[in-house]
Amino acid sequence: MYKFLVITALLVVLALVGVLALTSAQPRADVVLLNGAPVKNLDPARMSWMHDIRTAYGLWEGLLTTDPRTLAVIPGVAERYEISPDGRTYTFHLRADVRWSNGDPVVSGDFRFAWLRVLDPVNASDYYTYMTLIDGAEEYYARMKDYQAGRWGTADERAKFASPPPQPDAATVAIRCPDDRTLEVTLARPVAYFPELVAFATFLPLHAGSMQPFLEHPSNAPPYYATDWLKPPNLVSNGPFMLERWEFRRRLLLRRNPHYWDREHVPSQRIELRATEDPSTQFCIYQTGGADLLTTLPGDVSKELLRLKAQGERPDLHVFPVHGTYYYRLNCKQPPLDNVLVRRALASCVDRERIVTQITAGGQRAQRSFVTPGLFTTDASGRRVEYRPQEGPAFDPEAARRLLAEAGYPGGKGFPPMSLLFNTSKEHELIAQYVCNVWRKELGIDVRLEGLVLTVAGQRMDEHKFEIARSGWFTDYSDPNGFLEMFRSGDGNNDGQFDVPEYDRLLADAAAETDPAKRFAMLEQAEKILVDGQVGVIPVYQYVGQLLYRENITGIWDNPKQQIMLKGVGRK
Amino acid sequence: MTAYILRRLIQLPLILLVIYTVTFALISMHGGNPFVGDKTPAENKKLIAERYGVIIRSPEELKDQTFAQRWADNGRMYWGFLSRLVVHGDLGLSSQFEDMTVSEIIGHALPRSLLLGAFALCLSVLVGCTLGILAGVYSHGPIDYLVTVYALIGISLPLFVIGAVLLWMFAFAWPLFPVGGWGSPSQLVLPGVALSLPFTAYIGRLMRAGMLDVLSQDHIRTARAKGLPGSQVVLKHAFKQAFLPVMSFLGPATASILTGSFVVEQIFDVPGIGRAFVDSVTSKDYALILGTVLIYSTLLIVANLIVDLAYHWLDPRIHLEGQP
Repeated sequence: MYKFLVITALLVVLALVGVLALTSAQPRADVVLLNGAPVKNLDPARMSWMHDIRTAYGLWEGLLTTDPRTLAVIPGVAERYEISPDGRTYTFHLRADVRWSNGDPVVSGDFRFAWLRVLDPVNASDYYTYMTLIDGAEEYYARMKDYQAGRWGTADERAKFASPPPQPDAATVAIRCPDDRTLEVTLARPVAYFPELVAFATFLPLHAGSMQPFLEHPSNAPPYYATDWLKPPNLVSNGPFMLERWEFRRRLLLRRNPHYWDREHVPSQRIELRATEDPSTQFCIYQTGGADLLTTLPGDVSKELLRLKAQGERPDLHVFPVHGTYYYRLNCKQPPLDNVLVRRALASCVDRERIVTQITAGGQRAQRSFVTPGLFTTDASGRRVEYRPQEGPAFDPEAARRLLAEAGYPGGKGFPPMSLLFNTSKEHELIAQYVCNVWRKELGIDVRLEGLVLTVAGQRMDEHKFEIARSGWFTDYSDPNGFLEMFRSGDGNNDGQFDVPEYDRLLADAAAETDPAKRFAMLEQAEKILVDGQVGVIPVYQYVGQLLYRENITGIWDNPKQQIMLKGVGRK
Repeated sequence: MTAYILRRLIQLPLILLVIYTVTFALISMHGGNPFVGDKTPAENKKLIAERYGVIIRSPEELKDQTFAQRWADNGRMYWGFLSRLVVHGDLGLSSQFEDMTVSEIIGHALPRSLLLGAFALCLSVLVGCTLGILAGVYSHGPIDYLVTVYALIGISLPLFVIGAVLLWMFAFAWPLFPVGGWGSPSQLVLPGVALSLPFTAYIGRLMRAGMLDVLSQDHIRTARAKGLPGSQVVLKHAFKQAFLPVMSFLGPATASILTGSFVVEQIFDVPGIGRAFVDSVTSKDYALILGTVLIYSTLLIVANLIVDLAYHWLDPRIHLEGQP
């Protein structure tokens, strides 16, 4: 009996270890990168997370792409492009030698296919609004939505239409392919940053042929591609790498694409993107040599590392400002915050310096503007035009008390109870505690802390059921518009219901303006209204990017978009 | 015997249905939907949400939604998941990892947790029994005290402390094993040991108590009297009986250890089912919550059944329920 148990147990253990040993016999990749959370979505039409976008740039290449050193837009699949004099029509000329990982040539139709897919409401693309900049696209999207609701919607939705709306014609969208190597796009209006958008993940091409077998036609929903098209070996991509393995929550293994046109400039044969969520674990793995690059540092560790860096140690730590703002949303339609005096009083009583030096202490910069500094564009003559971020009220408790009294709450008397909503995290909570304490001490008002898990907090913001809520915003393209757009009345992200006609008008005028200097001036005026005149938001600090990578790793540059292009990443 | 097993197996789907219903009601009670926080407004997510089995309402619709309407939506989702599972055997798509079906996730994560769990279970039975026998035979001696202290530590120290200490000792101070991850046998050792410790301690205590109890019984005295060597008395006669309490503990222990511990998976970065389960709850991933809960329940019920059967086999005096 005893022997029997021992022998069985030993056999089981041996078998298990054997299985594991056999299945894992693989050489280490050239570069192991801790990519943070596991893949959320690898479909370029749908992705919106930074780590997924980073992966996508390794697998696919757009017409244009980004130079990680300067963030300049550089040619990708297109060797060159022309812009029509009215700034609306872009003609892209594809390289002759670009191929998919299965050897098929990349043609202009692959881009049209992928771009139209973004405009299919069934894919619920987070960034479809970028695609609607194209002439006819917005209308096509709306009609497509009607068509789908009329055919597959609920009884209520179908009842809205007298007769089922017809399927819209994709030819109404101004994406044309005169031949396999030319793509012509006409925009509804000139968009200064369109080339940068073309370099963005939403505009990557897709290989329709390899996706076809996965097209599903359910009876109760519009046709869509089952997710298996993304899994190796099904996925066909055109970028520097192809997807060799996808092990859920463990890693993605990328292998150099032998058909990639610029393969001489891809130093790594294999790159492993390891999924590890917990920042402390990530740091331990990096520290013991299990990985070469780390993108998220745990808060307590980063303080210690910064101290060491100041002493000249840890040359592998890189800290740099990025285009992202940590801020508090104010619900402008919720009393007493519907009173601009109250909003201004609260904004004047946030000690940002203390927050960045005592709480976050990771190199963040206190910021009173909503737009981060350092955004620029070039005008027709090639001259650099800088955007000047506009600042809101400075920390001034005395002025804040006066404003609050003026609003009818002297010394905080009669101030209705309200709460500050944040998604639970140690750091968000500490900052919120500190801010609320200062408000209590200086203004005599009681703001309750309310920590909720992200999904629930997010829903509350969507439904405008909050007074003050913590948020963070990173712009997806290097233009102030990427920050300011979300406070337009009616914008899907305008959870604080900031509704100022003057602000909307300035944004609309700026969008129609082709002179960069004038456009920026209008946006500056708009920002002034947002942070100072009407105080729709309380900016707190500018995020920093923190990277740890070994000194023998090449091809990584500190840039304000934290962009890592896997193409050039290698080992010395 | 066969009838008994059959009856228990027939109960299984009913129990699972109850668990599914209760779980669903609990998820629905707390607000939020899995697609919140995306950049596209809820309005545009309706069609895709339906593919994930979720009904989304825009903020405007939610505003004038009555209590009954809300539960009607929940009811539709409830039937949606249930019918998909029963009719097509399909657990649906995960809304947290949007490219993965729940079956794919379970297919990737469950074997890892099972492997880790089986390793930890074997380890804890082997080590626990050995320690328990030693402590029982040499009771109230130095070995007994050492084992008791060890058991005390193993039972009372939480896993995150044990895990951190093991990491510090064997990955940093003395770098024998990697910090975490999955894929090589060396990555199995630290999480396996950490996961097995509390179980080892508990089994050790049970074995010791059982030993003490059995060793004072008449048939042991008879065995000794007829001149059997001490080792044979202990291993052949006493062990079989003293192992019974351990056996009954193994049922629930197997299920909880096999499904992995969330804490151990978190500390050692093991991409197992425990983490998938916990994260699915925080991100309100209906399909994944239901999938993992059903897997957990099935494992628990089957493990208990196996233990009942093993109990009967070890000690035929024990009658299974309903047997003559």
